[in-house]
Amino acid sequence: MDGRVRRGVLRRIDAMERELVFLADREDENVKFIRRRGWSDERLQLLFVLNSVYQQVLGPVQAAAKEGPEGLGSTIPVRHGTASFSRATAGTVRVAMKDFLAMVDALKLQRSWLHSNTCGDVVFAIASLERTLERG
Amino acid sequence: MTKFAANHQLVLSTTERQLSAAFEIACLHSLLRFYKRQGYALTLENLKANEYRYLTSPSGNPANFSYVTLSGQDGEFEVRQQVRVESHVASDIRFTPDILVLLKDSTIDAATNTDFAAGKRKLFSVKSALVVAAHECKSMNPFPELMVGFVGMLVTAHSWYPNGTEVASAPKGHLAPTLFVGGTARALHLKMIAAMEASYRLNIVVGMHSGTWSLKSAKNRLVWQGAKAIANTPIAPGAPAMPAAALAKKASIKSAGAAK
Repeated sequence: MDGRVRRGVLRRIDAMERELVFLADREDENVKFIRRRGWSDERLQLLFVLNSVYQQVLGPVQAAAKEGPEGLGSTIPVRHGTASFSRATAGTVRVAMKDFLAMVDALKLQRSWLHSNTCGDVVFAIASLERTLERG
Repeated sequence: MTKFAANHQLVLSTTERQLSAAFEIACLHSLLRFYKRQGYALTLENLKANEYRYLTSPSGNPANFSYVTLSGQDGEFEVRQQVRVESHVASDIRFTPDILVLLKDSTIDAATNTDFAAGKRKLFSVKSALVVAAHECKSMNPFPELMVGFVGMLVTAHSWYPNGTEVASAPKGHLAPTLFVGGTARALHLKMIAAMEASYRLNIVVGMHSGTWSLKSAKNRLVWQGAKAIANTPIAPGAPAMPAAALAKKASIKSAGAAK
């Protein structure tokens, strides 16, 4: 991974982990609840990693893989400095996204959790699902 | 994860600049699809070797890069990237929105300014009177200060703001100045966005990463009637719009006055 992008991803993961510690210290109801439901910190950290890679790298790249009108970005490549966005690039990105989401599914994580902004949002989304499951 | 990283090195090795570019291109595609649905005819202009050459920084000469022409019921326009705007508020206020919708054939000034690159390179800019809408793309999570900051661009990039008759609100037409944001928003921020869209002629589109591409939620739209407004004389139906050069002249008079 490019150095600056890597640092950005790591910063985000670190921020989410620190927020988890903060929420746990504050005895946040959602954190306590999802821990009771079997969510370990390791599993949450794994989700933070996937969420951060998605938000910082795959999200923007995937966005550009959607073709524009009049063949823009497909039959007519878009040249942006040294990078080119074409049908071939879009194909490569789509395969990467497919594999990434397959990995998320295999880990039994919700795809929508990738869109959460902060640790608090992730924890809230998990707690909402777990409450629904608990109610049956 | 290790296997994924090994299999998709090409995607993961994207640089920060390319990521930012990717998001900007995605927003451009989204905007152009919007225009197509609004009934505008699109033409890709100034292609180089069948490639759309994207202007990546305001340092480049816009004449060397590609752009898109729009032709609709309210006139002809150009969609360009990274063209510097000289504000009607004061001519020393210049900045570069990510995407600009300009009147067709807008004059892009190429000035020599000793305060810019020691006068060795041209300072390219377009007058804000020629700007229909300036859009900004942010591949990040939305936060209040980001959203409020966009009001500054609305005010300084559009001489029609707030009450100019160059534009009129309409259910179909141009997308009003829009802030495209990659991340999704929480309930509190969604309320803030709704309030800002009700208070200002702008749109804030969030969740682009998660697939908000239709721009249906961007309800603030405009039609351009600038020729009529700037000329200050009624125009018969079907009469040609005021040429961009004339508009630019009027704009330069206006901005020179503002600078005094």
